[in-house]
Amino acid sequence: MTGADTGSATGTVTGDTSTSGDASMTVSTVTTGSGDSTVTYHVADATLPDATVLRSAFAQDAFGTNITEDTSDIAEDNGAVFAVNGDYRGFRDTGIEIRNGVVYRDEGAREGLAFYRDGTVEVYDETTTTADDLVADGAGGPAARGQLRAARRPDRPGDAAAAGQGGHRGAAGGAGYAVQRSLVFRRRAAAPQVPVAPPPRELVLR
Amino acid sequence: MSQTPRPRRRRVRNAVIAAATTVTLAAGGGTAWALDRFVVDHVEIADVSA
Repeated sequence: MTGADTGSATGTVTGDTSTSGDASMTVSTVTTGSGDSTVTYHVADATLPDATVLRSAFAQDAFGTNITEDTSDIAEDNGAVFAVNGDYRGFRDTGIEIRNGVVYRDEGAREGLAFYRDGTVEVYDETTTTADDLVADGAGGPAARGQLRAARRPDRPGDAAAAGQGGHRGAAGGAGYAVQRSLVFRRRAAAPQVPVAPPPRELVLR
Repeated sequence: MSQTPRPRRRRVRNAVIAAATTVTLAAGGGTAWALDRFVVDHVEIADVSA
């Protein structure tokens, strides 16, 4: 998300909430269970004025396999307020890969996760569609099903889905805050729960 | 003319060398494949933002 996306050149951070233009994100930490069953995870509630504000970025800004970069570095490079590592396109050489509306790979093999421009999110069968059809339907960033799986394996640095911030790279306190949060998320994270049908004009990631 | 049989020790040595060579080649090949598959970068598009 850039300043042009939100009409704001900078973002602000208040407590655990970051706002930029009409977009806002609140990060909270939840601890549940006790003893050896204790689970700590972080929840990012993102309210976005437009689904396209949720962007993705490749490790090292390159497409291919075995290309890795820490999520925090990807977030910093792209001015994101919050980033989640995900997908396994760097491990597999098959699958449908569309990022920010651009088709990078069209070899359906498994199930995919599609983020549409209207804010809806869908799990789909890669073998029964094509990347071009998905783009025509408004998909901006389908990812292999491994996106959620990767979120459960934060030890593998890879690509990041990032909700950007209006400020320039590292210019606002929000950017640093987001990077810090990203690091925490990478260490110990629960799989993000994505609503199937978010409210109109609003994409909520929980 | 009768052939002198190879000493047993030499046969064992040759077998050990052959086995060690086979294992080394297999391990080396496997290592090379694994490095290429899981470690070495294979960049298809160097600058996706361009």
